[in-house]
Amino acid sequence: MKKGLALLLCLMMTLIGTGLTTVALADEEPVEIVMGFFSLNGVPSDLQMVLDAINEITIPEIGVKLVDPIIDNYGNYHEQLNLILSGNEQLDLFMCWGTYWLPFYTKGQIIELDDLLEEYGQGIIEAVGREWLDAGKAGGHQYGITTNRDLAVTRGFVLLKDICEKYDIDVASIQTLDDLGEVFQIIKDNEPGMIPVSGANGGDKLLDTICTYDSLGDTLGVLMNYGEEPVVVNYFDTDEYEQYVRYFHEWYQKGYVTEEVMTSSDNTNPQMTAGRLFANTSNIKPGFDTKQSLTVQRDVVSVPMVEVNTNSSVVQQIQWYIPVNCDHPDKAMQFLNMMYTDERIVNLLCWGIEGVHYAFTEDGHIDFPEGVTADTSGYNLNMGFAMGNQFLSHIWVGDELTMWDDLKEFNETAIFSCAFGFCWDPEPVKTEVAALNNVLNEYRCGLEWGVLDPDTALPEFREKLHAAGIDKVVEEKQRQLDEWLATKQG
Amino acid sequence: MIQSNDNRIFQIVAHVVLALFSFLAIFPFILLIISSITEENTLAIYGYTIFPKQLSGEAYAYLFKEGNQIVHAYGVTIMITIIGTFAGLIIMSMLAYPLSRRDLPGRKGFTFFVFFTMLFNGGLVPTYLLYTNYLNIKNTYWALLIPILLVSAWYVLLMRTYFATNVPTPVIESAQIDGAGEFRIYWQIIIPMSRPIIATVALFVGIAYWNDWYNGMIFITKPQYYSIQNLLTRMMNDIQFLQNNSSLSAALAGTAAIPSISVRMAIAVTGVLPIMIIYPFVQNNFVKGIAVGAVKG
Amino acid sequence: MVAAKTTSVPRSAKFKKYLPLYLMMLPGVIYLIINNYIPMAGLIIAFKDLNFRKGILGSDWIGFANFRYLFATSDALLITRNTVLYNVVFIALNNFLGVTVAILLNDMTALKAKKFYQSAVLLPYLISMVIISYLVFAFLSNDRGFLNRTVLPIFGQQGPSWYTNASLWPPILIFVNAWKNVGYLCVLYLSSILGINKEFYEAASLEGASKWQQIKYITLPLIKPTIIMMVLIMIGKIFYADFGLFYHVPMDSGALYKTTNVIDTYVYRGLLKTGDVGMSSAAGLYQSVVGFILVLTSNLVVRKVSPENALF
Repeated sequence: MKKGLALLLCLMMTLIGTGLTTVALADEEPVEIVMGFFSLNGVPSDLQMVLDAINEITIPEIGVKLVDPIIDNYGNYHEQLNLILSGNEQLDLFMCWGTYWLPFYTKGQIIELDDLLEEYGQGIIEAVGREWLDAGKAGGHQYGITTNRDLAVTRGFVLLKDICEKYDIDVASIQTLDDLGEVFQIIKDNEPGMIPVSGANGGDKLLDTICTYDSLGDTLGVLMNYGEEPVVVNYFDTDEYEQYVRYFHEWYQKGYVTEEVMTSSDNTNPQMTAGRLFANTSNIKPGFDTKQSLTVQRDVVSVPMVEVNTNSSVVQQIQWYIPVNCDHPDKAMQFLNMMYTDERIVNLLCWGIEGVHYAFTEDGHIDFPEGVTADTSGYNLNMGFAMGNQFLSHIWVGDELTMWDDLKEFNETAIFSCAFGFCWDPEPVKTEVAALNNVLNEYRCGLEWGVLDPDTALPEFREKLHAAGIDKVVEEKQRQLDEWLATKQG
Repeated sequence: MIQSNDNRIFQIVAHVVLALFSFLAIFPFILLIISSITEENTLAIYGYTIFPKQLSGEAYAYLFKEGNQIVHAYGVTIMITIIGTFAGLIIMSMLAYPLSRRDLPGRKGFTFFVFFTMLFNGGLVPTYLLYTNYLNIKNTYWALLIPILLVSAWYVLLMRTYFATNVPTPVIESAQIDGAGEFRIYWQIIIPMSRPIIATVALFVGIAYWNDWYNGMIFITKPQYYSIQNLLTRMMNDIQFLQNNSSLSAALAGTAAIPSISVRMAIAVTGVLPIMIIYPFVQNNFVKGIAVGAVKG
Repeated sequence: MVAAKTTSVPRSAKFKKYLPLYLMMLPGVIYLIINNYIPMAGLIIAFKDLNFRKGILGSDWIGFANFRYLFATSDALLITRNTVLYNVVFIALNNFLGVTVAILLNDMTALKAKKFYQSAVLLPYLISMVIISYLVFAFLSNDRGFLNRTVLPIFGQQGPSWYTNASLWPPILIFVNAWKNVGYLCVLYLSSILGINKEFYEAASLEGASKWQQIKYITLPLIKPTIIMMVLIMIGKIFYADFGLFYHVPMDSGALYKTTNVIDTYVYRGLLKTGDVGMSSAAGLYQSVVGFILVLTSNLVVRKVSPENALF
């Protein structure tokens, strides 16, 4: 067996020998940079046109030429990233979602950016602010650079406005779950065929909507009350958790929730459009109601249930990274810097070319040029949240012109978790984490939507968590957090 | 042929059983097609029904809004399916025939060599690295054709078993005495005498190429190389991703186009319908081929 | 392994005689080496703490640490049991149905009907599991499903809540699996039956053999090698579960895990968030090794009982 393996390795080596040779670029030649990001609407057909326009700016100014970006649907992109970063393909700068970057960090596939950021990224620091950039740190070094967008979060329920008006429900007065329960009871009594509240399996559960913990990445050990104190707690063992779970089970028994949440893989918006569902749950930010009403095709009104708050996980959702594959990190950082400082670059990336892919309206919004629609546009990425400094981008018709100021204010009012900037590395307890993820999948949805009976399911859940080693994970998390606090103060 | 009594009973039983099987197979299909043309709100309220209250072609309009891309992707799929099936069949049958020969020295060793690949594989990352970094097939048509699909140990063994049981050794021996070389025996005796298995394997390899989305998922990032399944699976993967990343769907509310149920059904129909149409023709030829093979045998 | 028979032919002459046969095998063998054997070197990842700065070969060896999560869980027994039991049922039932349908189809005299049936049974094989999961949902959904809304009320029954009731799922999964795969097996067995020399049947008919006798004494014995091979290979895969069947079809409903969680879904859920390559290779290797041992054992048994049908 060993011999065979050695033979195969030899074969592999021979193949490596005939592999790539990298050509060093002459100094005057622009450096070719490959960026990677996911797309919501496939690869735009006019991509090259937009790249050419960007290169016209970047080649003379910083000697960077964008070539062949890696763009894939978000459902496929992270797998693709994983593969590219395992090999030696060219990739110089990439964006990714949420916690997907953690394995890249633990497996040494992305580089530290501290020095690069100081040297070439002053524009980024100025635009975003050091306090927010801290979220991209791990092990004391900067790895990710967050985009400048809504960096805080609040969650709540989204209700159908016309139904609220029909029953004279004063939405502004809804403060607590009890208030909400009364509203749902009205729906239950008067609207046969309409489910009061629902959501998707895997989506924001009832509990997510009202809980106030800092999940520290994976909810296996959290900081209570918006991360007030650096004490890691097994949330599922707390009284708070039990109370909520029992409360929601009552809702379920009253028929506010149906078992459908256990299986629904769908976004529930179409159900609201059809009038089959009265409310769902969502993240809420300034301008949300306007935008959501367009999606649902009916007026909706949102009821936030928690304070505006923020923690590392929220900010980490969209960050940019430079992988080890990159031969010219300095150039990659220079380009990234332009994405935070140069209005032209930001708008080219977000909206394409003026006059071709968008045009200004009289009041200062932008819209499709005449004769172009969402379906015919050759560049309709619509991903301002990912392209560096969103606050430099033009505002599309339908959004408030004051949107960026509103968002900035939203960010500033956020409650910060005391662990902001701390990055949990699950590597030392990955065996336990794998088992725990299975347990979470098994019980959370059912309990936190109130479908499972807490009398039987909750003790089972807790016991299984302990058996799978949650205590060890919490302990390790606490240790890492203490260590981080010590270095931060020291 | 004289219908004996027990044959008549057999025929009746066969009809009953097969009719039941066919119904079970076809009914969900009808449901699939109907849901793909059911109006979205109707689907949301009443669920899936055979007689929906309101029909709509919107799902297909959505899918085909970039019609050119779909046509192109069909073209890619058809090309890859034809070339892949043909090349795969030749390579596999040429491997299977020697393995079916009991007199071949090292036969058991080679069979084991083939069989072993069915149980063990290096996994995604090593396969990707080999093909991408050393064989440079990323973003080429080769990527849809060669990795994983071209030779399947399973079909090699199946053909081997068929050759060994259905081509009598004396036939081969007498051909050898007549001075026929091995290639001629393979081409003029083995293949014609084994049409049923060749046709069956061709069918399955063809389906495998047609339905393959995996190679495109890992080796293709440029839309001009998308096959039809790549195009369609990408949409389905997005749904999957949103399910596993609720915070993304919350953050993207209103931005990401999440295909509705009827669009997903339309996706399935779009992917499958062409084979459903072609299959009866293939089957016709397949049955004819078998008849010819039987005469020669 | 090489079957060395005593022959008077010198080695070189023998080699020359078989050279064309070896040449024919060459393209396939080369393909398998490239596509399958070289990447197998990557299985060392399962024993490594992968760090790309050090490279795959340079990463630290960590023994069996990557395998631990497969056993360090109270569910280890459950997922193994589920995987194996389901597979055993699938092997028995699907092959039985496949052979039965193939025989019925083969001896059917009405040609048009035969063609129709043959096309129909293969249909389910063409659809992906994700789509099948929507179809199953169309039948089983609590308040919008076909069964609970249309079928069961006819009998005055109230439908159960399918997606929260774990004990209902073994038959559902077995049914769905058979539904999808029987057509495939049937076509395979049919090709095998078609290869049987027609003269056998004619002779039997003349001697007054009944239909059942013909099936029992001609058809079944002659397709036995194919059946045995099929079963052996399925045994090799007994530790692998069809991910789509166990993940998508029950809609990943947590309340059903007792009867739907299998090795593949466990691994997927466990690693979804961390994406650990080492741990996922470890799972694959574990499944392969167990399957390999089982198939070698079964092959040994077959070799004892009927040597000509052994795989190798």
